[in-house]
Amino acid sequence: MNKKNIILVSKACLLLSMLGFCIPVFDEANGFAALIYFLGAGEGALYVSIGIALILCFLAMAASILFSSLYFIRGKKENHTPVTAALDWALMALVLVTMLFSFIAVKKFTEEDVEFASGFYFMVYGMAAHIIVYLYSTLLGENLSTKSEEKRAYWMLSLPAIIFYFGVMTFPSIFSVVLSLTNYSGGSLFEAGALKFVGLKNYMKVFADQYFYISLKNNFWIVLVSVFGQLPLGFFLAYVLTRGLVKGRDFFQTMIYLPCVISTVVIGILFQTFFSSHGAWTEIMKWINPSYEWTMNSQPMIPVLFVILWMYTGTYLIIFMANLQKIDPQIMEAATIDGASEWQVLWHIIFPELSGVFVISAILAISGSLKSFDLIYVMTGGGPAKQTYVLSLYMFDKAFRGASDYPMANTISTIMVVISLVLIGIVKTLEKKFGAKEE
Amino acid sequence: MKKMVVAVMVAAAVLGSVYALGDKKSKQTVITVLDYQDATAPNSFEDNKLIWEAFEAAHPDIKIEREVLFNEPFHQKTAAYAASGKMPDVFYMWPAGRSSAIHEKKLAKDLTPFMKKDGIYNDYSKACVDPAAQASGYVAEIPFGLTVSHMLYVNKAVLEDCGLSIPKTYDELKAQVPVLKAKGYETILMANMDDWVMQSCLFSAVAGRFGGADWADKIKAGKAKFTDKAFLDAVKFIKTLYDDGVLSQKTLATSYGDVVGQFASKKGAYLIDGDWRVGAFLTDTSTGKALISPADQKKNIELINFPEIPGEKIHGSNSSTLGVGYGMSSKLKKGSKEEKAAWELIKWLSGPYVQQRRLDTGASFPSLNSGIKYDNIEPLSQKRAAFYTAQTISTPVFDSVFEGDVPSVLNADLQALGLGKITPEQVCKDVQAAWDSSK
Repeated sequence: MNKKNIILVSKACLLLSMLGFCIPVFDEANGFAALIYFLGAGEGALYVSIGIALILCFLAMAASILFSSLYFIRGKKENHTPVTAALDWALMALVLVTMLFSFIAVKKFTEEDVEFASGFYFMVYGMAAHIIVYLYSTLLGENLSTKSEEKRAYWMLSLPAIIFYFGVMTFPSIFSVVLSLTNYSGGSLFEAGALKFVGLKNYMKVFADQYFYISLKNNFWIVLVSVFGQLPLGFFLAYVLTRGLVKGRDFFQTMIYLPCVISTVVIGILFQTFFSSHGAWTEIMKWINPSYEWTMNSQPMIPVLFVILWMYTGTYLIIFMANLQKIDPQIMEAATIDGASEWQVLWHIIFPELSGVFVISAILAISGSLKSFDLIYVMTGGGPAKQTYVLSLYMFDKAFRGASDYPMANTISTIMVVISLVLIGIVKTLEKKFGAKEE
Repeated sequence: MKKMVVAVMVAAAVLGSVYALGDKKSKQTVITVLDYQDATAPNSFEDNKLIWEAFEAAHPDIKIEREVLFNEPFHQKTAAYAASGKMPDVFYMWPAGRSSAIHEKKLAKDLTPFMKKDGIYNDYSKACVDPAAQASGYVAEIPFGLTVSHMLYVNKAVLEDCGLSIPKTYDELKAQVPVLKAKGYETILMANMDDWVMQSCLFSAVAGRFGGADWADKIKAGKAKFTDKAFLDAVKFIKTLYDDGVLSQKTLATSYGDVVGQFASKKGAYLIDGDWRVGAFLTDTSTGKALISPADQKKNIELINFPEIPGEKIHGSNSSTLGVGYGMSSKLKKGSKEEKAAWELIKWLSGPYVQQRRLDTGASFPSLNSGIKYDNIEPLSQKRAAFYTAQTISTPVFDSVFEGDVPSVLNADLQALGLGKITPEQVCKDVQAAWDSSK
């Protein structure tokens, strides 16, 4: 998209902003009604100036759109001259100033008890989009023939994503670590006093808490079930189905994958009822053994682990099936013709080909295991007596239940990130040592 | 192109003129409400129509945007709102305990001036409008009534099937355990899986029996500790209940939603829950069905106090607290139409029409001194009224008095006690430590 078209797109955003004059901005009144009201209210110079500002805003928007349309489309120009660029900037500035003045004056300096309606958001967001896109166009060079212009173009294209990533991922992650080193408890909003740096005190508290070790142990079990349960089972089932060792491949594929598409909450409630003291499991066991009596499992995580294994194996089945199908069947046929057994084909051809996939899947399994929350929250709530606690639930309880302890919650999240990095590092090291090498 | 631009602008102007003056008829005041409702409870669907829609019909100038949640999701959402410092305009709340964040941060207005201005202050029982009874020190919510957090629901049909009768002492209750077990019944059903039920619905009553009516006041005043004999004896008694099989470990795997169905289907002879659970067994007027039919309620269900406990200091006491009600956001501007609308809603929700409805459906017993009819209530509600009349000594409910982490630490430890993972002495130490760090 060239500079001219980007400018025209920015004017389209401004057109959206103009909609605010047609749909309600202040309660039920749109921009036109508002300017008529303020001009005719007779409440003094402030009201009149708000009315005039709204008129100027509308006219400046219309002029800006018309000007660009006539200049670029009808005039068939490819770029602004310095004069026309200055005029365009002036119109944009006028729109911005009059819009801001109107809204701030109405809310802060008048007695009008009005709420902003949808038209306000159209005006503001439309204007913001217009400015951003327009600025984007001005930073684009005329051509990309020079290296600096090329660099500028790359930056412009990737900057929005970088800003977004920084705002949503990087900043919160760093801030979380910072909070874990402080005594933050809500800030001035809750008269919590000044923020103090407390060093590793929160980390000491976590490491001294028995529930941290219970959570860690349970997360460890989930990682084990995921990496040594879901992956091998997923691979085995994918191998069986891909190699055509059973009939009804599509049926089995659908059935194994089905749990992945059912809501986790529904599954959690289903299995909570299934494994409860008067649930289906007890009735089935009583039918097999009439003297069976339900007892509280000394390992209350076992039902949870079973459900995790059942629920997520389908994901890895699909991953492995897709990658198995990428292996050239002629290689395997050639190996078979040369006398290789099924096991030799698996060990010498398929495993090396899929080593990278195993690593990626293990990383997915580890990160998924450490963040597992929803199923356990619904199925057991972390109970009984927090025996099915996991790190994410522990963190959630610290942040949002009882007396919120945000620094502790941030500490736990930092520890979870460190554990993830360590485990992923181990997996990568194993892959380097035992994985397939590029020839 | 020029024609298109002109056409778009004309269309925008025409569209704008349609909305120019706004819609005078839809000048409603919109108020946001955070409500607590068990959608699976009988009569809850009808409540939407008979209470909420009826209010909007009676007040066409007010529009309600209502968010409805139940149990833990409600408390988590409330915590999130409290953390943001901006509660919805009207919200369901407790007098202390679970709504301690709202009280501490003064996020609810004092409703006393509103009640006095409208001349309804003296219509409510003195206990219900006692400012000292609410954690904020003023009437932040108008309670629906007083609530008893511990009731022993008895299914006489189960007892008669086993040739037993209602026990008067703990020893008699204990002697029933093997008899009931032989016939396949549980002794006491209880939703111990949730992280509040044990401390609220059983332990509070037991603590009162061993510690006296002022046990909580003494601890708050620093004149007693959780590690003292009285509290330790109460905790030891809970362990005794598990050791004697009166409470089984199955209760630790029973969720709050499941337990009423278990009691109604005669899985056990007794149920421990709060007085509010009566509503779960009454007829749903929309379907005409009840978990326990009125005939069965009259013939087979009784509501009693926990039998006499060996070593108790006071006899026949029960734990009770001020009931829940609706509060108003303190951020509403004084004299604004939102504040007026919010007060109208609270007045309606606390008024005779809704209190009558709540009485008829078993949701609560009225806090109004007059204007309520008691003729048409079902047998279980009548028995509930008789239960209140028979009450002599009232002791505090734990989570109404102690806030923050203290109730959750106690509840988790009492669950661990049931699992045999902790000693009573350790429970007391943990609760004392939680209390010390919360002060």
